[in-house]
Amino acid sequence: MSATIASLLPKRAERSGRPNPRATLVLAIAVLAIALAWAVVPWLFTAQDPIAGVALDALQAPSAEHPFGTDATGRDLLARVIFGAGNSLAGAAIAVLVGLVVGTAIGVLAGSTGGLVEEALMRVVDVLLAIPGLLLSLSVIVLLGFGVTNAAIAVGVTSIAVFARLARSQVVRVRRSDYVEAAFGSGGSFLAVLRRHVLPNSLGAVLALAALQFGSAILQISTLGFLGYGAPPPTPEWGLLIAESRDYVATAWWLTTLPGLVVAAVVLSANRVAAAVRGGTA
Amino acid sequence: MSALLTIDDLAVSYRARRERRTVVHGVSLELQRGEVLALVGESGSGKTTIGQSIIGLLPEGGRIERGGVHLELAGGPVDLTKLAPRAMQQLRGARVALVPQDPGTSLNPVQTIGDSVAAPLRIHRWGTKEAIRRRVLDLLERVGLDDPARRARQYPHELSGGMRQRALIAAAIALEPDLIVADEPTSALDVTVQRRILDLLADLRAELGSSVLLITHDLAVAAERADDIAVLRAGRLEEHGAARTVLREPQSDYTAALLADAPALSDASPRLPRLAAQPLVTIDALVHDYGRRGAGTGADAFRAVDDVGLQIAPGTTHALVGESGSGKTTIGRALAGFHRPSSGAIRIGELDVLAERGSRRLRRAVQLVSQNPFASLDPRRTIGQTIGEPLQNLPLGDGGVRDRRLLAERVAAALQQVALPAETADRLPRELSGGQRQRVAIARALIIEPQVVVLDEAVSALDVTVQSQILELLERLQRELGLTYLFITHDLAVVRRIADTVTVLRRGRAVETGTAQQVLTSPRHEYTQALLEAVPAPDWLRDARRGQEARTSTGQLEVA
Repeated sequence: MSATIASLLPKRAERSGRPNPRATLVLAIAVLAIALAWAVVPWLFTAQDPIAGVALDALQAPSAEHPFGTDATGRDLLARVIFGAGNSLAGAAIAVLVGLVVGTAIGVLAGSTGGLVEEALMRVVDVLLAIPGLLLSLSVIVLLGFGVTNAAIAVGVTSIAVFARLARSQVVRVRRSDYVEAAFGSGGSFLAVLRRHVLPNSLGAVLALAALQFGSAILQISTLGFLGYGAPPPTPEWGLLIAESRDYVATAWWLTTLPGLVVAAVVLSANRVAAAVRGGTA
Repeated sequence: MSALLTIDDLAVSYRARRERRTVVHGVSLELQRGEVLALVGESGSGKTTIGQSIIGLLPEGGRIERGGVHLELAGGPVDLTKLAPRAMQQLRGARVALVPQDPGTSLNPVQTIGDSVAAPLRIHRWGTKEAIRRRVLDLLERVGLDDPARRARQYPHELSGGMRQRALIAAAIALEPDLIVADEPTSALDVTVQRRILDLLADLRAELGSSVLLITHDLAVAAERADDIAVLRAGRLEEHGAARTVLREPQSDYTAALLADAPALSDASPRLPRLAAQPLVTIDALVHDYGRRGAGTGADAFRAVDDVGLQIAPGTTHALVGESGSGKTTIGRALAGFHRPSSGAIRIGELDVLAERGSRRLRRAVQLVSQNPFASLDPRRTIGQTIGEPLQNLPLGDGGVRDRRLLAERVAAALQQVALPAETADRLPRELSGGQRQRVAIARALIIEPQVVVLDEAVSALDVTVQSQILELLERLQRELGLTYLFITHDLAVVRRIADTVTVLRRGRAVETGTAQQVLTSPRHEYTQALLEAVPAPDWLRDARRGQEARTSTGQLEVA
């Protein structure tokens, strides 16, 4: 009797009901690896031309020949997504790099010197934070001119403030620790202590943020592309692909949905890897 | 009459990094009504885990594997481990109460003291709002807080540590519980405050007839306050019995070693005064103000050190003794050149410390070892890198070393000096125990061969056996290298062991200075007398230990 009851009751699993975290991490890395391969060697993944279309094949639904369907000028959508990876990912990388380098430099400088320098730098950062991100990137593009690289830099500028604040808070935390004091106490110079103790112990969180920003940079660049501030047509770029297709939402769902899913998958994967980086460095 | 609390073959495990580790292996204990049972053991011995199992508040990942905790209530015995969470909630605070360890973090900072004390009364619907308010005032008065009406309106940050602990005790006894679990209730407090809090607990127990489970690492506190003692080691019961029996005739070697290492119980006479030599360290009329610089008389200025002077002969240890806030750390840091005092002079030999502040000459003359060995080592650098770093900082001509092989040799020698195996050099701090880390911190301080070492509470965070080993190491290094120590501590028992001369500080002023022998055996100032009296160490225990001395010697457990 009791055996029956025991078998009827749900087994108390040691693990929680969430999917195995390692499996999702592997999946995320695989997605990013494929996206990266698309960016580097796109011609290996598709035989179709991303620029020239066949007018007869316009607006065809997904099929064996065109897995993602075709657009209004008969271009293969999958080919355009694959060839667009290069522009979008390179843009995201540039954006993250701009934010990471400039933001971290400001944050570390402010956190490690303190005093008037810190006050001045952090107030500038506050001003940057006060301006809406999209407005800020649009202003930067107006100054720099249109184009994939400029759009990326514009997106990077918006993340400088976030990086600066995080880097400063980490540096301030580490700078107050006993081991930094001990290092100064044993005759360490400012730069030596910064290099040996402060930077290695404070940059873990900053790198995790960089991975996280990679995802949102792809989104922001896509947004700029959608608004027409990024790459000019007919360059294949993920944001631009979705923008060009919005006129056909009612009749050709695949034109917006499938590139959108690709963007979502890459952004989610970047976030998953970011979480793993943060877990590993905490 | 059966026991109030019966712990029967209790085993508790934790899940960490995907594997289960058992930390309490079948412990059985009994606590009679109205008595005090002390759970004694070092950190990691499972004493806190047992306390948490009783009140049903094991941290996440903790699980009771087997055994039970039976509490004898009016309606019959209850097994606390099998109780539904809601039923446990009914008991917690009402029949079983907790006095937590750290009064600094155990009170909600945005709640008034009155609200915190009223919380158990409100939760258990004790009475009307007005009745609770009156009861809170009664309780605050009962635990000895002056002006209860004002205290009830204050916030935790306005109260001292001792006052906060009193408030927490008031909350614990609000519903007159049968069992009070006191987890290291005085470990974070100064010795004179500790005595008053322990007295209060004893009074309340007599008045309410509650039983107390006193969790402590301090054998002397247990000896003074408990009827029964249970000694734990690595989750197993080493010994259990009446306090006097256990401590007079310890059956296990471990209890005997704990007894031998407890500094408070030591009756070794203080170091004999040595021939007065030319002093190496001279501190003269030192004053340090915190708050507004320059405007020393401003309203928010605080004089941490007020006209303190002292001298230390080469090769001797000078102890700075005082309670928290007495200015002892401020003096130590000024000597180590970490901050500039408001006025006064500090000299080490011919070196003017204040003029040389931050210079490499000063670094080679004086080094600081800080209290917390868990915070003082960079978690990302290997022990070898940490110990070798001072040599890399010094310029090449002045004792600095850049050559990798030479550096490794020096690090190996330094490790040997502090009795750590050479392989330690490749380890990371997190792989070492507290005692081992403190050895590393000492090795780092000594590698540039300073004349003076400031030891800021350098053994206070360690278990007694480890503490004893580190003190032994410090004594040996002093003999071999002729080091001069400024030893900052709140623990008079440690002073007895290591100091030649002593300065007793109170609120930034030196109330008494002299040789250790004179200060510890015939103190002149009443504050020194009060400090000495507050050290918990019943006489019968000292006698018991004297008998032990013949059989056991200190520090025979494994190296920390």
